[in-house]
Amino acid sequence: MTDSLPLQLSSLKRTPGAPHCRNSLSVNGIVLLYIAASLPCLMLGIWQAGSRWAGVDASVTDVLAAGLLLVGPRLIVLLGLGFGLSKLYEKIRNRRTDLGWLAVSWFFFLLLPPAIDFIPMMLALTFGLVFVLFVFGGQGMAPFHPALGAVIFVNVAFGDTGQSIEVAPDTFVVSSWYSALNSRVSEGVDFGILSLQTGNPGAMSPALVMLGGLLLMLMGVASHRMLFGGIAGAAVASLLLTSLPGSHEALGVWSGHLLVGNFLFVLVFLGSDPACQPLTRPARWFAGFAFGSLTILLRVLDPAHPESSFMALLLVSLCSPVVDAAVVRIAVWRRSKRHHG
Amino acid sequence: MKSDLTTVGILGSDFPGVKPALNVREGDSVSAGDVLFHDKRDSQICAFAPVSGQVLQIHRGAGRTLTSIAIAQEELVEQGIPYANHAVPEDRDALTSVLLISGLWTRLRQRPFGTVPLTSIRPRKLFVAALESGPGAADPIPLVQTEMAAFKLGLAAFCLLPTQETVLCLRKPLPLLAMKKGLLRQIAFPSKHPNGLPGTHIHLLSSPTPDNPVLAVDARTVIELGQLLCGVTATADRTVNVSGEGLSRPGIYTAAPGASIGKLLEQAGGGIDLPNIRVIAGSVLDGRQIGLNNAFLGVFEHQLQVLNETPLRGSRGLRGLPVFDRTGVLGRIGLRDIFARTGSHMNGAIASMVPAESMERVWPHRVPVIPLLRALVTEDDDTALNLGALAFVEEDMSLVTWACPGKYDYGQALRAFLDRIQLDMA
Repeated sequence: MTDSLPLQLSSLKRTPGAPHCRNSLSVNGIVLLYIAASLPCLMLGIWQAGSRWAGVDASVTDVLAAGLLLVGPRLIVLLGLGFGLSKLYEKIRNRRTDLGWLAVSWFFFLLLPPAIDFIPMMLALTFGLVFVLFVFGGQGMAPFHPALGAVIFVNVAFGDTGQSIEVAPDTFVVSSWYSALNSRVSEGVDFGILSLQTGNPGAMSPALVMLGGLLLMLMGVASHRMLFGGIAGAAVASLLLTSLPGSHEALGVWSGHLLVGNFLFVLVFLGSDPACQPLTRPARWFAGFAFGSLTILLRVLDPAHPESSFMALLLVSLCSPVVDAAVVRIAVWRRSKRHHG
Repeated sequence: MKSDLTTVGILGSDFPGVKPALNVREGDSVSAGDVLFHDKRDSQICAFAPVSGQVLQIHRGAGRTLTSIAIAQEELVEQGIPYANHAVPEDRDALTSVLLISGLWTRLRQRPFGTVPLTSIRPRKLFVAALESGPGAADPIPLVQTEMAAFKLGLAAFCLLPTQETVLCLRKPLPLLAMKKGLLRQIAFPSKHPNGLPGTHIHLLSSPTPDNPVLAVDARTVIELGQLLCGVTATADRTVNVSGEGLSRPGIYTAAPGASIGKLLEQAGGGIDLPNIRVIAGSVLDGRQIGLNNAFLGVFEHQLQVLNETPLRGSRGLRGLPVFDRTGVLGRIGLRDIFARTGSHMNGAIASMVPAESMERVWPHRVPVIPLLRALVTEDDDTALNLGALAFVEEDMSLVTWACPGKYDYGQALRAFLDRIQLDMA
């Protein structure tokens, strides 16, 4: 139906008939809300990247300038590339698009290490936007979050680039969040909700991510089923793993698994994105729970996937249409049973 | 306040599905009760002149559909349903003929399709809606309690119509002692919108198909039938809530169906042709936009709303900031109103369909809403049929259209679906 809309209809300002007023929520509004909710995470990311680069003794201005210098050009290049690609798509398909490209570029950037090379980054975003978003018809029609496609592209095509954190002059490399957790636990440091971690700019503070998630949920944008389902799934999986008789001591406290890595960030900003979530409520519970538990299982049991949350969300996004179809079948069956015996 | 209105109109939109064959021309004199037009599908279905006077104008719309017939009223007489004093009907055929000659048959609505039914219809169930839930709607229960005797009589008569049962939908069950068991069932619904819409009751309690239709009727029509059977002169007057932007005397007015909306608005200190306003008969969710040719009160319309019309040009300004969803917690405590634009603004561009929670929060049914809406917009008629879309009409889709962030019009998509099904049957 959208395909056949002429261009001028896309910018219709007045309601054409009943209902004569409309909700204040729009697709572009949702994108902007998600970006606003993740702004504190970016600020912290800039600060952390700057303080690593400028050193411990640097002044506040130096840290900010260093952070902006490190982060700014990459963000600008990604946003410019996303905008250009969406304009090209508008031209080729002769239709207006929404701000889907903005969300994809933004969250892709927040999931990258701050010092990644420009070429892999741009290639990955092009892959994500073109092959996950535009070929399927744009925002709302992607099979999974295009930013997720771009991040997985970086991980697969450029190996460690997407997983290691290299911030000059202090180089810090994490090969796995499992090993990060192990090293923290062996140092006797417990992971708390307010603790900061190194990594991609978005996922440094679990507390800020949770705050963003809470805001999105209260505004009625993010699905609380996805969010609570994800946290429940992760909690169940990590409780199971830590309580197994043969489990390694270094697995630590089960709650640490929820806070470490970018699990929370991916859950809040990618998993609960209305444009990419399952269509039915039971499928959202399923997708949340499956995503949470798979993330922890893959993280602990498969060292080949240190950033397990990406792979887990990909798997869940590809499976949830099956659950949606099952929910629709059950609804049809229950309805026919009720009315036709 | 009683309105002093001298032009009365019959609206084509009060006869959905009817193909009118006109019996009058412009300039003809008519008496109250004369047939203005009959249905080409079924000549027993007629529209009667509510007053005596002269036919001023016959307005037609797109495709020569009838928009309205305006009649200049000759003298101010108390309007009433023209045929009184009928015997209480004993069987279905007698009831049908009473309904047909009193003009009340055209108040019935058939599901699927939401049209005026043919007289040959054999409905399985009849749904009587004795509750209203829309924004600004008046609760019909006080009226039912005042006219309880007529309501009971009308309901007993209406029970003859369906082959299975009559379902009375209301907020709290009423003590209706004289009703025969098995013929009438009372079902209580919560007061939150859209629980007052017949589509909500019908989708929950039945599964209408073109071969097995059901009927819906409102409580006022039941009372009017009861009054007719009692021999009481039924008054057509009803209260009309007139409110909105730019009215100096908003309030509750009294008018009969067909009354001139322009004069009603003048009484309320407004006007129909003022700039930058939109006049709506009915609720803002599913009401009818008033133009110069259809400015008459419809039979089911109890409110007039005046909205600010959004200018087509000009910047959005600070009030275009994003946004608190009214269905979210922050929106519900009023934060949304700080930022939202009032009036007829779309509040965003038409975009792809995004399965947001906001649409599910306003959906009262058990069937999942997003797959149903997707089936409607992608013309997947099988899924839409299986999920019970035949029970709905446009008004049932108004809340999800209101809540959709992609700004789709699901009412339009549903009507296109119903038209395809109707075409399939023909």
